[in-house]
Amino acid sequence: MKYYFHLQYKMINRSFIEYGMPIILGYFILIFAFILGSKTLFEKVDYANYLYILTYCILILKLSEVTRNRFLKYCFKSSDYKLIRISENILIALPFIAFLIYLNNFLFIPAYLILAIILGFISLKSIYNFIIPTPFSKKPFEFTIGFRNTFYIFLISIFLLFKAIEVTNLNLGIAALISVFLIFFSYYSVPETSFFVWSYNLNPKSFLIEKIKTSILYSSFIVLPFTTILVILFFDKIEAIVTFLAFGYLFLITIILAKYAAYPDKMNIIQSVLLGFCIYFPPLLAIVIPYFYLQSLKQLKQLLK
Amino acid sequence: MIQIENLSKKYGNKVVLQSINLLFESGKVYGLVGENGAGKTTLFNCIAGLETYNGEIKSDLPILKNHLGLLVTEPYFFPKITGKEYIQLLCNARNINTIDFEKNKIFDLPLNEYASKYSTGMKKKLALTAILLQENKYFILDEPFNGVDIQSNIIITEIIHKLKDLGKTIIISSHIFSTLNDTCDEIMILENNSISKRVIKSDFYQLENEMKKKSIGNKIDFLNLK
Repeated sequence: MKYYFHLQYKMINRSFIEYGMPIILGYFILIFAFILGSKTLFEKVDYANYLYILTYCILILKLSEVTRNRFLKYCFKSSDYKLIRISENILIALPFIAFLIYLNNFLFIPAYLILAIILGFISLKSIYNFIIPTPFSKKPFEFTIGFRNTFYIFLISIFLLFKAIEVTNLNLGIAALISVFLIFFSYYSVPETSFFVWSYNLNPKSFLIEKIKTSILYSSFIVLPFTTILVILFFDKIEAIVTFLAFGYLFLITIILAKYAAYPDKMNIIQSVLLGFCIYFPPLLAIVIPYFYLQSLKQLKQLLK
Repeated sequence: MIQIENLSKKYGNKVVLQSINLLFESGKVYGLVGENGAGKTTLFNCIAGLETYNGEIKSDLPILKNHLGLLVTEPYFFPKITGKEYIQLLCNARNINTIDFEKNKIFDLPLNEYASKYSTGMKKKLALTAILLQENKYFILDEPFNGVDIQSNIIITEIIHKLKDLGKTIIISSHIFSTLNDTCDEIMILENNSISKRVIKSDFYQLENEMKKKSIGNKIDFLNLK
């Protein structure tokens, strides 16, 4: 088990090396980005606690992926496997908890530990056995797979929206809207194998436009009902709601472009940091979007003529 | 027609393909044979444009890849995507938006189940179905018979014959000589990074014997089987 964690540490280090980054600098940037992101979230968003815990859930649910868990179960005896899963979840919770302690925000800390333990035991295998219906089958890929992977997280967003209606609180409603966009962003976190890009008879520009069009169309299926409810309830704050909606779409476009700017590799730390800066100072999108767009065209040129 | 001129490919300092010159004509089936690691898949990837290379690949179409159906050795399937959605994805990619799934259930696959749950043979059949529905002019089939049941092997062979009759160009790699014998008009041997031999159908029997002799030699004797 000790060797397993040693290997995880080596894998993280290797990913820094792959990005051409000294390991220490890599950790520094990672910590800096985390602190900056957390600080921004708690400064600018009410009910940040909910979004913070949602982010944590998304991260640890990735570790529940069925193939990975099958492999772990195959390698380790049952007690060690459970210990590994809980330890991993707690390790990921540590920076979140540390930041909450720094903020003297102790209320939610036990929830992180409880989630770490519960999700360490829960197997996602059962939900793999039936086909989850999705409204996104017409153009299958990111949204089809993403929705099936995250449909239960939407329940948190819907809960936030209902809470916003109940207590007539716009900020909570905005938090619900942001949480939906956060879920969509996660759909673009992993690059597909080159065969699935190569298959398109589109040039790089048309390919990117197609991807962006699909993402806007499909995200609107879920985002627009949220927005409509908020507009009806808080019509006097329509500017604020539309601004958040517009930024949601803009960030969605940015993330798609960032993904293909790094393609066929995963989004690298520099791109992630640029995205982080954009969250902190959104006008930067005016520079970052064209930059990622040009990089994407360059990266896709080999596969798409 | 696909014409390959002076194609070379290196990974770092390691030469994988050296001065490959080939012509694939319409309405013909070509077999590519070579040991594991000889560079067959690399050559296929170069033709498809999935790999960079030195040299030139020309075709009678402006963008070859848009009319090329590629069946890879081990097709990848995203988790949580059904067979039907996989076909839809690949057809959408080629601007084919209306698909009659019932009519095209060639292999009786459970199209409403997650493709990643399929067996190896079913995955291969699904990937083949998708590229057939893409209405391609050219086909590269990298080991299409591997892992597939005998009934499907027969169907695949018939599909290849049908595609040939329709004037399509098909390039196949296989480690099973009989399947190449049944389908190909010409077999090319890839060894020492280049095409060492091209054999027409009438000489396949002789080629098989030569390959047996060369591959086996007296290696079995070393086992000293009793």
